[in-house]
Amino acid sequence: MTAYFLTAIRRLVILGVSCAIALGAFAQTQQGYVKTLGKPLKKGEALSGVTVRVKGEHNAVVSQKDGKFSLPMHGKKSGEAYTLQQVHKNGYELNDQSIIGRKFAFSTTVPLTVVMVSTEDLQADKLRIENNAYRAAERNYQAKVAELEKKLKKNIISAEQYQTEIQDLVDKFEKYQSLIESMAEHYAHTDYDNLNDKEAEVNILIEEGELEKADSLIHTMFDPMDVLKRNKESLARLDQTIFEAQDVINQANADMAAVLKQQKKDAEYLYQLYTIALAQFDNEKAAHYIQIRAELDTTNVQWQNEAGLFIEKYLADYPLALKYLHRVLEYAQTHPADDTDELIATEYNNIGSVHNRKGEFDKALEYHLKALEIYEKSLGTQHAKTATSLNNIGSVYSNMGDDSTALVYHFKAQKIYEQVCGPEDPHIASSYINIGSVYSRMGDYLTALGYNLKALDIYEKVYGTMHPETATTYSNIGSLYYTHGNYTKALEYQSKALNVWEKVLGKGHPDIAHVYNNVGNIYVKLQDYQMALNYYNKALAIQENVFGKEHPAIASSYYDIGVAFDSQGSYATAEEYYQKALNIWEKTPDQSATQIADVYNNIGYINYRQGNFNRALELYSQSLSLREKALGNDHVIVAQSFNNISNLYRVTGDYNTALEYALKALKILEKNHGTNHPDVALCYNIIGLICYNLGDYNSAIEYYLKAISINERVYGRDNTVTATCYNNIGSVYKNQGDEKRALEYYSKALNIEEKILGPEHPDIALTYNNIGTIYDSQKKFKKALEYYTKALEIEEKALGKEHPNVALAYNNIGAIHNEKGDYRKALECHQKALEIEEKVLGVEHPNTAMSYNNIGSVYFHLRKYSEALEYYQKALAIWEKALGENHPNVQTVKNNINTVTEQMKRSQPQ
Amino acid sequence: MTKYLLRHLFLCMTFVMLLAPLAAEAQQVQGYVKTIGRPGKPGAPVPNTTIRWKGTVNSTVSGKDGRFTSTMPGKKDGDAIVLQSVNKQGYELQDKGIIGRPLVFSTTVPIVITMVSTAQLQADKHRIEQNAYQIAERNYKKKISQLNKEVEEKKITAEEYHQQLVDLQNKYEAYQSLIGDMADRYARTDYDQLDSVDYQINLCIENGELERADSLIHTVFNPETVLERNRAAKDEIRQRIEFAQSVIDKATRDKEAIMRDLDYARRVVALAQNLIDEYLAQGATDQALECLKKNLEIISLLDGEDSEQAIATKEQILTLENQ
Repeated sequence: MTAYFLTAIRRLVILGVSCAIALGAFAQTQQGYVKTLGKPLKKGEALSGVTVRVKGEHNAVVSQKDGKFSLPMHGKKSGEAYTLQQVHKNGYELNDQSIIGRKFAFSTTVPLTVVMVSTEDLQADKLRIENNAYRAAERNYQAKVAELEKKLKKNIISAEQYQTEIQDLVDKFEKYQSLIESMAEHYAHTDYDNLNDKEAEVNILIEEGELEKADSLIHTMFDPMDVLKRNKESLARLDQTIFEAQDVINQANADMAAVLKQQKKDAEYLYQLYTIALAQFDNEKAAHYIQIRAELDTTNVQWQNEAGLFIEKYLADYPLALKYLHRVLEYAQTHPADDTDELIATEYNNIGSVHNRKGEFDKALEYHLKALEIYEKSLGTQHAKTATSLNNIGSVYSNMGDDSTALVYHFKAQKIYEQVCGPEDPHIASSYINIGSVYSRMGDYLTALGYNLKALDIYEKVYGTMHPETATTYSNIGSLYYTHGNYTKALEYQSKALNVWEKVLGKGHPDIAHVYNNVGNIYVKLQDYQMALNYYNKALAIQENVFGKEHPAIASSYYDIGVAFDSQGSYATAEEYYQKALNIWEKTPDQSATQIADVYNNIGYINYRQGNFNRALELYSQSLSLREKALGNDHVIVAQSFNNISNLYRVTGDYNTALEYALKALKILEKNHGTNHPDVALCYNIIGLICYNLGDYNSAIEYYLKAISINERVYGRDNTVTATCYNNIGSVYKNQGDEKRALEYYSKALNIEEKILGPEHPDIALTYNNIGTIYDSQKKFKKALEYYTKALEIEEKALGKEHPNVALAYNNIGAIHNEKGDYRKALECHQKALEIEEKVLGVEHPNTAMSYNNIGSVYFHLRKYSEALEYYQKALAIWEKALGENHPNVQTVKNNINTVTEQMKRSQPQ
Repeated sequence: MTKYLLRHLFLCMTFVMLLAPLAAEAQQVQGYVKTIGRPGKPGAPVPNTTIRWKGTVNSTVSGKDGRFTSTMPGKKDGDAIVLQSVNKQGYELQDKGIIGRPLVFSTTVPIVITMVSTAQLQADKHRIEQNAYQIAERNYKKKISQLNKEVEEKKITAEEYHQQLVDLQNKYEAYQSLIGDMADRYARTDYDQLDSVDYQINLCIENGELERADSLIHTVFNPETVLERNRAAKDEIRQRIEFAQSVIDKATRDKEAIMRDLDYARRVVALAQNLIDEYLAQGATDQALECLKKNLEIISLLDGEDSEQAIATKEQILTLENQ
């Protein structure tokens, strides 16, 4: 029976926890360099051992051998000002004292150059320059005096003039001498490293007093005025050009801002069109719009992601989805920012999900592990996102079928959630559900149930009892109870779920139909067929309204209703609904092969119980062939078909073929379930029955007891299969003559059946019949008749007047009348029986033979010996063929024939 | 040489402080908190909202008119500032992403924080969701009856019919799972920011009048040409910027070359000044004057006749001439 349950889709939740990645704080430094003063013949060199102290910093630094030093700049940013407090080295002084206290701008790129000069060298230089200057001045003085004397001699100037000039000269000379020291100081500090050759030459000339030479040299260094003028004008022009170009850029930026504003609007329109397309179920159009939006700005992470994820989920075009996700990844990798790591991790996870969906589990794992690595490194191992990654990996292992590894990861995630979130956080609940579904898949329903209940606990506290999430959990738990066979609990939880959904979705909502069906299925198992039909009809009403009468979902509903009617014995109605389902499913045979097979099987079973064995076999065979084709030769459903066919052969008397099929079924079931499964028990029961029919009573009982022991373990003491087994065991003991035991077992069976099936069920009739046969053997005819009649009444009503079981009942009643000597009544009954058997079972059936034998017996008592013989011989022929020479029945009828022949001889005139 | 350098230094240290004509003092940023505008209910100020900025200790609270002023020492115009939290009982941020996002500190441009009442948000969301569910159901049924008709008229085969039914069912289920997020998004739309057409469009979508929304959108927007239009516009602007930038780059390079030359001229002037000092020391005033005049010419060209150095040189010349 196909059960349709809502599957809980657990979205792996990614917490919106923002992560701040701490930037490593490290000391910033200003690089610097100390050198000595450059002189004409001696370039400046690196100076080590110089102590440099920055104002406001505790520690001073010392320059290295290469003259380099690093000043600490705590708390300063590039461009901020700093001042030097001290620069010291023994025997040296700063070339320019004013750098102490001067504001410098902190630069991480441009080093600070400090120039020092050895005090000794400085003094020496000064002295040298002074001496040069003195000598030069003296030379000059002498030359000028000589010139004046010459002029006097030549009478170019007067003696008075000569005197004035001389005095003037002396004054200037004295004045100059007083300045020499300060000028020497000035020139001694000149850093020749900064001067080019010509500049150096000029300085040297000045130092040596060769002023005219210096003058003419300088004048060669000036560019002609017109060149300078032109340069100045060019400068102005260039500034103007730059200004205008900047203006263009500013305007362009403003234009771009406008374009981006419009882009935002356009994106909004596209999103709206996407929404509208979705509402019309036009997923292709929706994808089209969301892609256009993504293309509008390929650096917009949100748009790329939304496009990729939509395409993945709703179009299943995985390569296209991956295109968008990889785009984000590439962008993140080439444009590092504060949150780059997290973004990359998220994308790895998204890409992993796509591969998961595609079934490319290796790739999925690769990406999820990459994401995990990043989270563990940047967030640590105790973070919710790390947990989510672990869960993702678990899911992939689940999909790969590796449940035990999946659990390892889910438990790891679980542990982290417990530490990171509170004990009643929805994430933990979600985790429990993940773990539960793995256990469910593994078949361990009890453990799965445990975890689901834990999850429910949390959801009820956090979301309350009327929340969709809670409802889904109710439903899951209901399904688990159903699979486990606890139908009362299943009903309790599905009802809770239904309650929520009726309020949240409304009573006419298509989704509710599924739930109604689920509840209906449970009521069928609880055998409350009225309620089951009630719910099925509710589902049907919604579905017919929404889907129309041809929808596949309706077919499922029809089928389920058929099963309900079938279970309560209303075969005609059941078949009607089965046929309705079939009508729809046969229109898509490839999709619905197994469902069609189920319908054939069930209709076959109905026919079987109605005694239409040929039709039943036909349907069973059709079902079997569909199932083998769709599911292969080892599937448990195929075993079901084998069992059904086996029953058919058994009931029609072909016990050997029956055994053949039963053993085929057993093989499959033991392979799939092991030797302790209820279905295996059913098989044992059937094989027991066949052994019984073949006369192998010991094997029969052995198999029955095996069956009972399994059933009791799984279903408890009171279940119908056990009842059937008790019946069968009873029959074996009866046949062996142990009537006490037989009655004991028949009573056990009756006990259960009255409890479970109620007094009108065909199966009880069989038990009544069996008990009747005991009383019959004990000659307690009144009691026997009572039971036989009960059986007959039920069977005629439930099975119709032409059922083999009805025939059996008539036979038994006839036998009683026979014993009581009421031969006419006996004959009447046996003939009714025979009529049914000949029609339904055919003239070759062992049961028909029984009737022949019984009628023969009555005729014998009526002294109609030739008729009696005729009937006995018919019986013998059938039994010999069907049961073999050694069967008790064959012996019995042979004896009967002998007795008749004897009587006939005696009645013959000598 | 040292004399010249000192003069230059003095120039650098004097600068003009511009006083900004504002109500806010320096290091203060202003803003206001408002609710989103909804159809028929424009946004209103939100008082008593507690705002906390990252890196500051004190929180700010918005006044009765929704306005607030936050003091942020050490910040100047253009710096990035980041919100740590925004809280008011019964309200939430329209866009949660504003927390943690770098905003621009400005003493002139106010910061707008938009909030939405949680109760209203839920109510709007619920209403939009219900509308969406109804629309979906109606469309779903419509599609089904359309399919029914097609199969009756034999326009599609029975197999195709069943395949499409299953397909449709899946899409319907998928859509329903998206409705929640979509409703949330639309419920957060600030109608105050919309022009009249956009206002109508949003209103239609929220009310479920999707066909009308669709046609309204198409009156102002063409999805098939938007990409091209957008790209063309951006390309054109980028080209303009690229070109202007290359012009600037070349001009800057050219400027640098000229500046190097002019700087060299300045150095030579300084060198000449040395010579002049030497001449003066030796009493050779005539030679000194000649050099000074030459220097003046060049200085006037480089820095202008009114520049400090030009004036000083002129003074020096005058002094000498008067001797």
